Amino acid sequence: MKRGNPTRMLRRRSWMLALAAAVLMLASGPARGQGVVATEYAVKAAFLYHFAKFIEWPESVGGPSPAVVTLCVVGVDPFGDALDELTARGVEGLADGTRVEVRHVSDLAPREGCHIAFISNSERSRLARHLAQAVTGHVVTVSELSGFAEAGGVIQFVLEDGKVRFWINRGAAEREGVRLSSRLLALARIVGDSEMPER
Amino acid sequence: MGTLSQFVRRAARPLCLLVLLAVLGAAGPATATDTGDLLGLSLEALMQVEVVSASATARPLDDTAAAVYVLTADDIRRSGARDLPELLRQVPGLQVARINDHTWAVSARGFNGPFANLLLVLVDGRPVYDPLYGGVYWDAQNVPLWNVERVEVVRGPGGTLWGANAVNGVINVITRDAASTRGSYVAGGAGRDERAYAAAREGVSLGERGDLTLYAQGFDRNVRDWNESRGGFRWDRRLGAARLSVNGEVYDGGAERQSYFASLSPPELALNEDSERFDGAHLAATLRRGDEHDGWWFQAYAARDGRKDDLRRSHSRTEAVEMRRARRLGRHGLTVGAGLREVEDTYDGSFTVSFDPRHERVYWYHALLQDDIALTDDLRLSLGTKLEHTPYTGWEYQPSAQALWRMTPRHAAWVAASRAVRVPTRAFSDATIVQDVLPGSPPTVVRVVGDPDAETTGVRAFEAGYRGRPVDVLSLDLAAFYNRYDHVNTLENGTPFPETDPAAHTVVPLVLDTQARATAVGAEAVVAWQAARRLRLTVTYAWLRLRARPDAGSDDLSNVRVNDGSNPQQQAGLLVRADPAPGVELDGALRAVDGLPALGVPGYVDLTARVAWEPVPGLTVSLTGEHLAQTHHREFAVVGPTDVVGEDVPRTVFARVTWAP
Repeated sequence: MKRGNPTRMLRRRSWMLALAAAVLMLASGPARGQGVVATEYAVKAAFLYHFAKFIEWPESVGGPSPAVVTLCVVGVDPFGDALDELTARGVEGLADGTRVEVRHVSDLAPREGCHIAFISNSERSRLARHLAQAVTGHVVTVSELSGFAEAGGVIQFVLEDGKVRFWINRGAAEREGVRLSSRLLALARIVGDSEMPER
Repeated sequence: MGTLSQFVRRAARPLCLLVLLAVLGAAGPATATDTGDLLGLSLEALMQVEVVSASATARPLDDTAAAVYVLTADDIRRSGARDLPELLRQVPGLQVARINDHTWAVSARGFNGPFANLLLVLVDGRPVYDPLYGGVYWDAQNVPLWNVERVEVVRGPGGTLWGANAVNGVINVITRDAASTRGSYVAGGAGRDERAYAAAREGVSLGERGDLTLYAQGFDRNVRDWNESRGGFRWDRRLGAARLSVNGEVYDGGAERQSYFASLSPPELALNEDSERFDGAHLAATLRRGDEHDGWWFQAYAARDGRKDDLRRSHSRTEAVEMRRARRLGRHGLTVGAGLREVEDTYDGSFTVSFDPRHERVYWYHALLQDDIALTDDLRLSLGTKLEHTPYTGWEYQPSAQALWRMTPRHAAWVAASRAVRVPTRAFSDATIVQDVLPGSPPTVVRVVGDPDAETTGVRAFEAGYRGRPVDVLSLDLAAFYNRYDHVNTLENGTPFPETDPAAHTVVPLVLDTQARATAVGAEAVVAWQAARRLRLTVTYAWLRLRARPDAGSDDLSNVRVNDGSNPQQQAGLLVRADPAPGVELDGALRAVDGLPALGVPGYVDLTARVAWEPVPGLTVSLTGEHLAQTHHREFAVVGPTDVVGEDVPRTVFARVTWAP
């Protein structure tokens, strides 16, 4: 075989050298990105955790800061493993003592004991029913369904320019009897009811 | 070959990588990517995090009316697998058998073999099968697994969306977005069957111009001297509301091998030591806007692959463009698509194996239409067909109808009926392969010859499945299928004829034909149980019964039987994933595989175990043992002289150190 030939070998390795050179140039260049990048649902899971910290619930559901915040996922769970991390940390106790428990539910009946409910995209047709149930159970509803906040949901996730933002319907929060911290309100875009869901 | 050149050959690869590592070691810090890191960020900081979706083409799999299994980046890392086919062993319903150190037979739902060609393998939407025989050279398409975001495996026909060859399944490997791989990654290792392994990646932000990642991987194994180096880049950026992704890769490798060498003089058929080299490259660009329900997608790529050994030297070149457009119109979700592919190949063979003509250039083009109809809020019906013009058989249609009923958010059932085809490839129509040479005057040569009039192999598949999560800690995935194949491969006796080149001999032709039918029945089950917070168990089981029978008029004796008995009837697996202490991962995979009666391969039990420890954040040390149950076992046998020779799979242990600051 002809494999001992050094010229051939050099040719084969040349792309490796080129690559190394390219890396060298890049690594020594001035602008190195420091921005944080993560998958969409990992970010949204982290937001849900923060919501738990910045919301006060009425006494009837363990408020203002329940010892354990029950986070319910209604419908098809889009989070993959992202919420497991929340639970794992939550049970051991996070730095500031907020504990989060994740449950998968099919409705928001008071017996489920949800504090925050993430309403999945699979629930569009059942949205009105979920929102009605949320009011009686003091559940903070969160969703990424378009038009969610205007339809009476409390917090709606939106993607703007590749970043996660959230909109808050203050009227909906008041109906549900929960208090959102001013810090949360300051970062959100405030929207109002445009059309009330059928009750 | 000289000792010095051998040394240089072995040293060159690790050396190049060492340079790369040194460069990367000097590079800056990485960025947070998982929920654990994100929890430490303030709300304000969270709002500045750029999000990347796992893949814009990824469907919410819970909503797919097909038997789908997904391996996430976590699954891939914790499998310990070094090579893509080894990873695929974890997927229920696939048949993965290692033929020798760098050759695998991989199929779904039957028809496995070294030239299995009913499974379509895509890397970022780009088919990677060899145009000559329609199957995958797994040693050449060995995607660096640490650079893979997820692997989606669809068992069953995928012809409507993916086209010819997706008869029994589709494997879609999705590599990581450049924006999710900022920072450095370096890895090194060695093992019982591995002299050296090194890998590196560096991702940088180019600000307005997006993100760029460069990567390289090389290894040198000591079983049959399989060695390989591979390097590439990926660049992702936003163009207005669209996203542009460009990636390219170059690879080069080789291995020692055995092959049958035929000649007219003694020894007529000899098993020779040979060495094989393969190399290739690709460049692909994808532009997409929106998602698979409402948006468009455009892809162009060029790829070339080459292989050579003492028997042949082959080269192929593929260039393709493809586009899709999806639109929501009320209750309908319409997808239209079209594509064109040019494939050119050259095969310089030998007396043992050759192609006539030695060079060919062909065009494939297709159009597809699919309508996803929401009949009610919980019932979806999907109707579609692909129309593809193939160079060998003209127009082929591949329709499908699928329905998904979401009974409750936790339970879904689906049914599907589809047709998919495998179009004869060049190997089928233009190849001649010597099977035997009988001495005499003149000598007699038994030769497999292609049939230019071969028919398309088609499947009509009927499937049903259920996916559910009865309680939070338990998930179930069940699928069953009934497949009817027509025009299945046979070998027919041809009429002997004399030939004078290179010397006078008589040829007894065995003609590759398609005069058989087959039926396959099977079921697959996956049960995943989160037994405790730090313990996850997955049980998989697959059952398959395949029966092929020759048509009246066929005189095939062997091929039909091989199709019948070259797939394990039952396969069972147990996957254990435990996190016994912070920073410690313990993984195990136990598999039991039935024997292959037609090939004389007995059943076997296989055990893989991995332990990993992260002493400081970013630094991971792991030890993986593969095929631990026996010192060696046989997984496949190749019948008759072909250019692939089966060998035992030995027990092995290897170590890895990775550093991702």
